[in-house]
Amino acid sequence: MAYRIEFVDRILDPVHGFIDLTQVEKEIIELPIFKRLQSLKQLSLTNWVFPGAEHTRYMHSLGVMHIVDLMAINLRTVDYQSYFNDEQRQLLRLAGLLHDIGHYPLSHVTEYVYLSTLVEENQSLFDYNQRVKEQIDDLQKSDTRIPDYMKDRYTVPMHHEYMGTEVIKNDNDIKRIINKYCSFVDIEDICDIIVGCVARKPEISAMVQLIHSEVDADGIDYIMRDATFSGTSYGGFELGLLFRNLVVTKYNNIDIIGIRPKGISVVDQYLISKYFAYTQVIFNRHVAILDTMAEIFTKTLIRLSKSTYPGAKELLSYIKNHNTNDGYLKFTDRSFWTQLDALNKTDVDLADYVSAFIVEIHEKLQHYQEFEFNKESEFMITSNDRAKVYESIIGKDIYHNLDSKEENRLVLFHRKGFTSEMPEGLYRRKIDDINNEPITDDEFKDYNTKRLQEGVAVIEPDGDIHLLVDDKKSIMSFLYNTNTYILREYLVDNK
Amino acid sequence: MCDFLKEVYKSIYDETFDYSVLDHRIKLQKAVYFLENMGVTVGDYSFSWNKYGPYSLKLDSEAKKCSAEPVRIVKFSDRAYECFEKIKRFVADCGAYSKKEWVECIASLHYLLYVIRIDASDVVNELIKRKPYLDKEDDNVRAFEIAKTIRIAL
Repeated sequence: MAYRIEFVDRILDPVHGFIDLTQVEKEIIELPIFKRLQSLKQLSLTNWVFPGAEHTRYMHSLGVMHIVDLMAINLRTVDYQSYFNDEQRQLLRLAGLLHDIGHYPLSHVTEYVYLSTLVEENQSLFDYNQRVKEQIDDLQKSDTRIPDYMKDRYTVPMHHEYMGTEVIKNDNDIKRIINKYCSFVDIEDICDIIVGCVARKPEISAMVQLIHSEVDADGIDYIMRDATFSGTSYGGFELGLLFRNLVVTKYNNIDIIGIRPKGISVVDQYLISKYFAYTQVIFNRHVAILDTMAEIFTKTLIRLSKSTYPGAKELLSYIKNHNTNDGYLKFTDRSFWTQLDALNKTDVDLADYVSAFIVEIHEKLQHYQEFEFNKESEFMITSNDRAKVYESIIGKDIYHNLDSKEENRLVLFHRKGFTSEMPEGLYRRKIDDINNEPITDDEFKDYNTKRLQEGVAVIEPDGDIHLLVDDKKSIMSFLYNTNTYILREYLVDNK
Repeated sequence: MCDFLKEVYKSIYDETFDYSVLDHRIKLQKAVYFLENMGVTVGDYSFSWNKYGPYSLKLDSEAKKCSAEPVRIVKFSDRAYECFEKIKRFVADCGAYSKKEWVECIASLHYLLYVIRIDASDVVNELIKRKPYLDKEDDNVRAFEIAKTIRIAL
């Protein structure tokens, strides 16, 4: 008999109301490995600035499960037929529930450190500021880069999505519970959906897109949740209208999820909300420096032999052995703060091991303080002209100070656009340029499939398919290349 | 990024990267692919199956942009140098293959095993099916043993 979704319990969520649970989900969320997510704040130190932002990866995971199911229920073919059955919905719900199970303490702050292993970093403020200068100088060059669409994280072993697949594969209880209630679920499918892999099983493309694309369940939940908990209004968009316009069709024999033309306005609204969530909350002048200080100190903790913060190999061994060892369960936000405090209780003088500004970060974070923002330094510009942005920045003192060796200032540089989509003509010209000759239509189809999977495809009633940026009804056809650039200086008081 | 890419290439292959040479482009792709899988993140790249094995369009576009720029000295992390050494060791003995074919062979086997997740006993046969020109049996077996070790925990 075919599996039917039956809800056996529910949890009250401040963002979505009641979130229903099936038996398999109810048992998974009771596992210590899942409850670990209650000790990972979604927005790291943002609650020091927006006091309500105390929400965790646990709540977010439940929210993604809820949203992805609503998307699956509402998804229709071009001729308005339902698309997913209950078995597929359950698979999607599990992938949504487990998608962040490999996340790090302080979320992306710590993840970034584990991913940044190519060069020696943060040895001095001069080095740090020089990297900012390189990013600014890069603006003067024409941007010939092409994004990799539909990023697959199987080849990035320290990415939280890949770590999540390792947690699932190495956890006896998750697999046992899934096998008990949902023997039809292939754990490998859950892992592919979590890391965004469509290479092994192209037929799950639609499921992967619901968790991994420009408008996906993950993004929808975090935009709504971050706004609700931070107290800002940037998470508002017509969610119901978005659901009602979800549609799936085939391109190059692969399922592509998109929206009907009536859904263009709500997707525009969503992408603009997302843009403001970054520029006003994530890049808030206080949040940004606190996150940077925590990031720099995390790097110190990993490097310092006196700290018990795990290195990359040790962390992976925590995960492999977590059925019998609490190392991974304890790798939470609390471990960061415990290690920060522990350095005071040992006979270690931090100044013997690290630069003065890192000692200052240690002092500040222990006392809920941040480096002082230099109000006069701030420079912000929104433009679609990189060369003009560069010209505007190089005349500023803050740019010239990047070459200072005085070790008394830290500069942060942020950039945020509205969409990662690129118009078809431009995308194709760039690929032709790489190949030194025009590629054939068939070759382009393969590249374009990933572009359509990741971006927001507009699917017309006759089945015609194009991206939002190629639709003149969308504001993104004007904004696709527009970014906001923010440059700020903070004063470091090295004692 | 340009400095990093050129220096990574030079550190591993002991020659200067030239974008106009196809073999150089393929070898750069595979070097970065190996490093990423060893936990040394070179850039925000994602690799998919291509004519010459795992390939990142973004990496290719960045490599092209870099080709005209002068190289600056880059100080890599100790972990990165460790990985360069490991790659240099297994790249050194190509058997009957050219260096480009050898790294293509190892990277392709790795991708089939860990991303496509073909059964280990079928991976070498799958490689030959997809790439008939990689037909040196003994070297393929040796490449497969190397591919299995290209993970961060090993």
